Amino acid sequence: MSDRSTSRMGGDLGLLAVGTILAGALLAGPDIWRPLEIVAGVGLLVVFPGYALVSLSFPARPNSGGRSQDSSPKLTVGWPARIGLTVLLSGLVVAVTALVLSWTVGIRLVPAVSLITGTSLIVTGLALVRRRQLPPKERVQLPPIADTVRGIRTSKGRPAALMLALVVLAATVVVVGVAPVGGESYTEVSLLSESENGALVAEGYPETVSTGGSIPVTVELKNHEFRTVEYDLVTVAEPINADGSVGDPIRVDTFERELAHGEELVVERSASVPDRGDQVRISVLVFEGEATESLADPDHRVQFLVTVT
Amino acid sequence: MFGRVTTSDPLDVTIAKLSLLLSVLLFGLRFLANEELLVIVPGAIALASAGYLFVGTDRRRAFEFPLTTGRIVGYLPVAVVLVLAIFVLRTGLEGGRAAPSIALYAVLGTLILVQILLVDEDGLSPGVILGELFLVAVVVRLTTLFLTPGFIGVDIWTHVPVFVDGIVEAESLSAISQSKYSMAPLYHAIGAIGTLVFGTPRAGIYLTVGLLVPLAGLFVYGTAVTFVPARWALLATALFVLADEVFRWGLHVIPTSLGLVFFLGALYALTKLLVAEERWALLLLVTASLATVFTHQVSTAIVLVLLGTASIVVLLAPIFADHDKPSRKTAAGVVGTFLLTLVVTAVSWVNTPWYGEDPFLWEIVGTLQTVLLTEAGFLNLAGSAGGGSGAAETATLAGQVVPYVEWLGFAILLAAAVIGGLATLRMEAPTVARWTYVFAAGLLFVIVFGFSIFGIRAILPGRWIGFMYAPFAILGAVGLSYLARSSSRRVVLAVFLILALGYPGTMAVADKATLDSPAFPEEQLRYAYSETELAGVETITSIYPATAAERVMASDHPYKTVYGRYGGYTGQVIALPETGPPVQSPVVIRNYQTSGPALFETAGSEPQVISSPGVDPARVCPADWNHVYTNEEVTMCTRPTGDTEGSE
Repeated sequence: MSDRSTSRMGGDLGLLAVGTILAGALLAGPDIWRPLEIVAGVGLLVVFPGYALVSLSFPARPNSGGRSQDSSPKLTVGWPARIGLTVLLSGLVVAVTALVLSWTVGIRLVPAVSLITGTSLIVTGLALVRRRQLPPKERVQLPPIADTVRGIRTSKGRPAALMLALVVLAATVVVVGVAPVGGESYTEVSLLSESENGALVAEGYPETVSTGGSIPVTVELKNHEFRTVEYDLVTVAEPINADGSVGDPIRVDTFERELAHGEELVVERSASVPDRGDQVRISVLVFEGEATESLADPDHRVQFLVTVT
Repeated sequence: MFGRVTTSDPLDVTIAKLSLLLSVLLFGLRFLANEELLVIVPGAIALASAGYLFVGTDRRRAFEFPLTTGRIVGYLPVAVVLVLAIFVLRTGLEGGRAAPSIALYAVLGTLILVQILLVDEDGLSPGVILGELFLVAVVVRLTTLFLTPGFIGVDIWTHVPVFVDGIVEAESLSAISQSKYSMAPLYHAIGAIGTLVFGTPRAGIYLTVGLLVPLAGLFVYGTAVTFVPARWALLATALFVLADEVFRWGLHVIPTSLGLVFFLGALYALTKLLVAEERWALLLLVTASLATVFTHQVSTAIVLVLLGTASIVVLLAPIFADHDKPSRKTAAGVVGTFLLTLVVTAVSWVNTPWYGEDPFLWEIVGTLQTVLLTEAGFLNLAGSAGGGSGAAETATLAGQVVPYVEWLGFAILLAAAVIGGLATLRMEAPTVARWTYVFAAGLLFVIVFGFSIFGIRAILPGRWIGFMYAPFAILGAVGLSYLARSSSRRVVLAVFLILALGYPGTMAVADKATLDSPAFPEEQLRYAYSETELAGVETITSIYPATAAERVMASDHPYKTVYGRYGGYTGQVIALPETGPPVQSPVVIRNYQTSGPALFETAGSEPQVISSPGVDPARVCPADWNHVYTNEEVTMCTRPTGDTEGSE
């Protein structure tokens, strides 16, 4: 588009108005495709209102290099500063919108999007009026892509290679952005007890047990291994010796559970406590797969201590 | 504007000599305190001052930029974009930044600086280089933010999941009415709208404030181009955008980050006002200054320092500026903005609640009074200004070398800024603008590093550094442009190569630029968490709920901060007596405590920091305690009820 036609039509402001309306409609409506939501959201919150305000404030085209070359009172700033002002003022418009909504109808999606959209459109209209008051040659316009390409070419740049590289970058961003994230694989094991209000919490475990008696053992398992896992759970009782050392484990319960990725399960069991000393450590050994015969090297271990009376 | 030189004015030479002398005296302090900054700062100032004296007056030499237009130059922007694509891919494959990504980021910086510093005039395309710089700034930051699980940093765990999410739930800013942000809600207000639009508080902040921060670097270009030609304005912008402390606020996206955005807007407007006396700049200056007041307290203090400095300079201008005094309107505008901002700040802070009974203003005045009267002392350097590795002191060679590597980028910037400050005294820009830059940069430097020598850290000097880098970068570009005109080709080429090769790399590996993934993992703390560590936080907070705020959860620093801020506990650092288990219960241990320099502390009235790898995990989470939660990386332990040792 030529300089003159852009100036006459306010091409950037037309695009701004259309973009604002589209973004507002998309964001205020039902859920949309995530990438589209991001583009529309960034436009509406970071670009459009600020660009409209900058266009209103500085209707004249920037001087080269952003430096005043004459003493004329034209309101103008260079493109880098225009972009900086655009994002700064967009942030302010969004913040003020939240303040206004907080004092009135509440900070909710539709009022927020409507208010920002409406404000942007009104300011865009005012900017168009103000720009048209200037002679066409003095009106601001978007730096045409053709000019940029020409700039690269005159500086012996490689516009075709650069465009190709930008396409590669965009494709990489999209691939990384939409590719399913593998994430870390882990299993969570919690030792729980029932609180007074019935909730399962990690405190309030049985403190004492009579000789030969049994106590409840509640374990929660969460599989985040990205595969189905068959867990072997072995409950052992380990006497605490007088010197604080731990005696040999005695297997008191064994069970297994299979969980798919993302599944979680609470298992409530009971364990008989053998008569082995004053204090016994009840441990639940969790094996991802079959438990070893010696019960050595469990994948996870949770434990609590009880006093045998 | 920088063209002619008034060689009759020896002020710059006098100051350079004084700076040289002062730096030698400062270096002497190195023998009284073991602090790497006492080597870095005097060294950089001495080198810059001596260099300036050696170079002497502007001899108007035309430096011949060695990379002439040709195949290689034409493909440099292509190389930047492709390396950036590799960065994104590599970071995506790693699930967050790792050493290769950090190295690629350094390469990107070097490729951009090579274009700015070495390509000849015909090949220099400011628009393309500016585009590359901000493409890199935005893509690197957003890629890092979105591929790092959870949040990066400490404070953000309060600001986003608690404050921003709280506002969205309450549909009102009343959710932060009891916090110190009740009168400074702009960051949280933007975050709340962002949350509604993008669906989560994390995306809501990252895609709004997280975008504003890197793009606001454009103000540095807009400001610098007021003083110097495009090449040097590009250099100022690159020096700023690539700086560690600036990158920091793009990773740890909190109110300070938004404060930096408004500060840059205020600096741009102030410069336009002082240099070109453009009227619209006054409105922008007032807007940006007041927006800072309603965003962040520390940022407000920095803006007040800037405005206060400018006000003093314009008020004194009739004394020292002979022919280019600012107009009355400009002087009144600057002073008026300062007074307006000061009054609004005072009113705002008087109405801001703080932890004590008194409002924020009285509390902060009281704190400063206490610090000045009782705690301040010469060379009281513990926990100094904000750089450095941040971990407990280490005796290893790597531990002693890493801080110097981290500060090298800062030293380069400081040296360039010193030369620029001296050269500024010669240039033909308006006097008030020149002196405002020199005094503002100097004053910010004194507040950041000078106050720290006396142990005055209540003003959080580490947070000022990123802001200080804006005038530093602009002065630095002035200095290097002066050097290019005044020195021999060999000297200039050597300086430019050191800058292009050394600056991006050392800034990229500094601890503040690698909060998410330290470049020196044994020396620098990691302020981000793995998915497994975060799963531990989620599950532990649900099975051991913080029913009351005083409920303690102890872990290492910084992991305990997530429990404190996000989980609602009183998060404490695990305190270890001389022998035996920690004094607190429950405690949360994690594998990182054996591999990274997480921090514990000694029990007692004057706790000392302990580096966690030196502590046996079996002592922190003993075999005779209950182990009530575990995953691959995290275990939560509680003292058995019958065991009454220590306190809960």
